[in-house]
Amino acid sequence: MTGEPIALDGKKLIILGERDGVPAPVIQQAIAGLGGEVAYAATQCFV
Amino acid sequence: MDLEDQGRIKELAEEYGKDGIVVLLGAPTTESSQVQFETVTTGDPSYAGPLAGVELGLDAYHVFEPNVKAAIDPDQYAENIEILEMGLDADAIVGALAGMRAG
Amino acid sequence: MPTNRPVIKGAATALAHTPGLVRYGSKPFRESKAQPEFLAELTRGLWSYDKACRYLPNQVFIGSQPPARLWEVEQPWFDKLAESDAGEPPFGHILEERRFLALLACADPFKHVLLRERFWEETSPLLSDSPLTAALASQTPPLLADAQLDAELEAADCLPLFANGEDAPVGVVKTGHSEDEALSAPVLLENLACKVSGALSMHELLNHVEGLDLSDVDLVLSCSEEAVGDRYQRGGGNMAKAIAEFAGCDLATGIDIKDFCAAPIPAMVIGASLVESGVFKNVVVVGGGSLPKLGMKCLYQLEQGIPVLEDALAAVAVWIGRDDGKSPVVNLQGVGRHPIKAGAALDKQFRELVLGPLRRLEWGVDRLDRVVTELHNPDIMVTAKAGDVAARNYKMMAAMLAMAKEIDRSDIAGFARAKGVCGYAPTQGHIASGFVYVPHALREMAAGAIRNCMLVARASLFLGQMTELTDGMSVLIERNGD
Repeated sequence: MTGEPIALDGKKLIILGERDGVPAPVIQQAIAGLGGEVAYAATQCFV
Repeated sequence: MDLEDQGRIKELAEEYGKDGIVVLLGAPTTESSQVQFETVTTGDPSYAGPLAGVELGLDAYHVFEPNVKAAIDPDQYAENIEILEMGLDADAIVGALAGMRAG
Repeated sequence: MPTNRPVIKGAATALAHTPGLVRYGSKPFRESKAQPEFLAELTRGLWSYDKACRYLPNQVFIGSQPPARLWEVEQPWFDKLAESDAGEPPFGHILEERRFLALLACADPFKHVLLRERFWEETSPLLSDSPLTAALASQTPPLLADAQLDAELEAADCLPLFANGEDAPVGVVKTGHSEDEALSAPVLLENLACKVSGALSMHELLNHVEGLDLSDVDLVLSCSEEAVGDRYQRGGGNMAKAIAEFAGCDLATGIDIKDFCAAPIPAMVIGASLVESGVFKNVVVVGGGSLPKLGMKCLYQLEQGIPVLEDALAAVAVWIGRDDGKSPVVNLQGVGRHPIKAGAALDKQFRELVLGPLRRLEWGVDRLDRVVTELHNPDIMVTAKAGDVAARNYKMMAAMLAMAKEIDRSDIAGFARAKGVCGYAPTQGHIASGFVYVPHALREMAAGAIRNCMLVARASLFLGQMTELTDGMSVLIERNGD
């Protein structure tokens, strides 16, 4: 895979974060301003 | 993947169509990243949830993947994701998802 | 000079092997409602009391093996059982199921748990012969003849109790109120299981720690995972007082401390603060077992043909009292907290919980001998494709410390072995938090193996859907006189 940036503009975003990985709020903060609209965000906890 | 999440994803895919959606993953292990990727592309591998046998074919990326990283402001990435990347097996996750896309 | 400085005077564990209750764990219960044939599959996957006693993580839990043994035996451990159980355990016993089920009835003042007469006749001598259970089983619970029990089991909203894979129920849990979900049979069973296991850990504390008398305890803090209440106040409480009463601490009062899986550390910090302030003299922090977590990952285990490993209710009790000049000290200057603005990510949590107190105390990482985070048994987590939680925590903690220039990057890989502990705890989150390690920490300090130990707990508050936040707290325990 190349490092060509993904295009989020105009997309609906589904964010599946995880407690011990990258939680959904952290992903949301990181991609804020890239144009996509968060349609669903959830953080999983497997313990 | 959680059955509740699968149900919501299925609804959204029906509402917006496969080309209107991007899925971003933050799972901490190779296996859990693979399961989530598979669930939103070729269907729930555990055959337990609403996406069992449903090939949504959504665009899905882990946030550690180079093309996601390239889209995120470098300061944001350094502040919020870089240490997580260092503390997890990011290379293996990226490699595993690349392998799955290549089939 | 005697002071109110808070010290940990003792800690104990209790493990109740309850394969017959696994079907009432949240995941198996939902699964069996969806497909009734699942129960037979689940039952085939359960293993015996004897095997549970020979399973290395359980032996570490009750103190028969040191945690360091876990580094020596290659994972997985479920296929490497010890030749025999390890004899009289230092921290607490593994209780066999029949006795535990009988105690559920003994602990139920409202008589919703009814036992088969024959079952009680067989089991009560076992209870009265044991110093652990004799006092808990001093009164005969309600008993039913076979035909009466069969009639009670006709009710749709009751739960039959099964022992050790036998087909015939040994008792029944009836609903507490026909219109109140907070008092349904499953909720009452969950709460009673917590109450009994919590009280068992308190009796283990009495039996294993010199100098503690039931009448000395003036406060019990429960950090358990249940919610006791009714339709007008779900989660109203107070499990702590119920456990204290059942355990026989007649002069104690009780309060529940809630913070998802992190609750034991705030409970210890609050307990130690109340001792230091002079408000209470002897506080017991108790975490009873969590019935909903039984069989949580059973689908993965059944699929892979390995035993259903989440088959035991785990409890821990810790006694905090005034300085006696010898017991390890709870250093209230070394409390790490997780402010809202720190965010949910693991590295940020550890920055606040581990680096925060070290910087406040002006300690370098080299002064910290042990840091203990969530010790979930990797046999369970790895087979469930969730990875080794403890190992991941340590790697992230080390990465954070390296970025903060507290350790060298080359030390990241060896950090877990140098400062940490391998996971071994049942997946009942509050138990698996640093709490489970307290008895080992006391033993290692007494033996001079470590000078101090930081306990770090984390909570996934977002699961309750009131906030997207996480929480956490840490506390430092130090050898007395250092």
